[in-house]
Amino acid sequence: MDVLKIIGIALILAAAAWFEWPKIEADQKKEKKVFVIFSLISGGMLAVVILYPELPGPNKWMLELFKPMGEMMQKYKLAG
Amino acid sequence: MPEKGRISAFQMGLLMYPLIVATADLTVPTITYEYAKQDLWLSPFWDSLVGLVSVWLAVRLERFFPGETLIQYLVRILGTGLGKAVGLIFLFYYLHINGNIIKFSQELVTTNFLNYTPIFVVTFGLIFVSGCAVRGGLEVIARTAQVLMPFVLLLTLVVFVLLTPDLEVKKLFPIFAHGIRPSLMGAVVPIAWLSHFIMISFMLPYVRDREKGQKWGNIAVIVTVSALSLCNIYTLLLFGNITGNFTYPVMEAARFISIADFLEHMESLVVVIWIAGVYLKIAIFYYVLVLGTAQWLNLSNYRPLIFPIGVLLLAFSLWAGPSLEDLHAFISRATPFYSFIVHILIPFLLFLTVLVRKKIFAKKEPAH
Repeated sequence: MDVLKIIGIALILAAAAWFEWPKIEADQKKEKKVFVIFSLISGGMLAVVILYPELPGPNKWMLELFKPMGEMMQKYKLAG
Repeated sequence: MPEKGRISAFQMGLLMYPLIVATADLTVPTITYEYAKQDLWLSPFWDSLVGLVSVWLAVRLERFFPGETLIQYLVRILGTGLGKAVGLIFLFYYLHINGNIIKFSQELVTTNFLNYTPIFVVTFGLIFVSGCAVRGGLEVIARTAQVLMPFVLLLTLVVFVLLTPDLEVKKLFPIFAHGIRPSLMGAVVPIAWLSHFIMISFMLPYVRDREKGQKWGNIAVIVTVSALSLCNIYTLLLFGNITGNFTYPVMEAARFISIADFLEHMESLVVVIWIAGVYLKIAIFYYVLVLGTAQWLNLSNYRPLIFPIGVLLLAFSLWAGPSLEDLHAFISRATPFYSFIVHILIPFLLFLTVLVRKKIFAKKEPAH
């Protein structure tokens, strides 16, 4: 299943490249570089997230970071 | 300059409404109720201060650096190294929060309506539609808002009017049973939403009648806050002390409508309202993220970034956690502080820095 998903990501990125590449003008070298790098990074990240769904995400990091404040807030919850 | 479209100040105000209300109206009544109980109708008005301060900060900062967005003047204020680092915090914030919004939307659609549709299809659909709007630029997003918002507001009004016969005003009492503090504490979590008003700093440079920016920003704050308060008060008057038990109280409220056994299943209307709003919300976050990234990298065009960032958003929405409980913990325990730091504290410090610099500069002038 995961292999299929990753093939799907690759297809999406390929379709995006097929659509977007001709639209970037020839002299926009930086744009081309950024497009390739971003595609690779995001494709890679999506693959990692699909393969290891238990990986603690940014939500968990932020919960850890703001733990004291979050716990302080809990005290003010009214009962009932 | 990557953005060539121009919008009016009125359209900017119109964009702010779904940006706040689209997701806030679903979860905020429950969260506010936990802290404020029957005073929950007051909490959004405390938050209006946050909104007004955000609008004021965005407008003042834009006046110092006309025609530039937050990401651009960050570099001008803090220098290249620090400016880019803080810019990265903002971009990460938008990426992260948008991932959460998409996850939340997908969760709502999946649990309430499309029970058997794969998560991926719903998420991809949301991102793809918003991505197409972002490709069109700010003007296209603003125009879709102009087309959709009248329907959204009208349908919201219809739902509220149909609910009115079921309301019991006595559930509102006692007012201020525990003093003013519960309503203040109830206002803490919605800070996360109202602080989003700083995002007008990404639109102000492209507003045609910029001098009206503050006016429409403030009007948007008032309308937004009133809408939130209305949602809170309706769920309270309808459900009383069980308000805190629902995941989506407004949805439950719409389910409650039954007029002459004929007009029923109004929650489908809520979903229509809500999908339109959430599409705009995702599109605005997406747009700010793409535009900000393009300006962060000094690109001349932001369009090449749209699809790769869409895939990144997909990753972040999957990463936001498999269950709704995780998402709720994050919304109620971390987002208010997270958003406050990124959206209020940093812009405020920027503003102070600019002021102090101007003072020093002004003192040096006469010495020459």
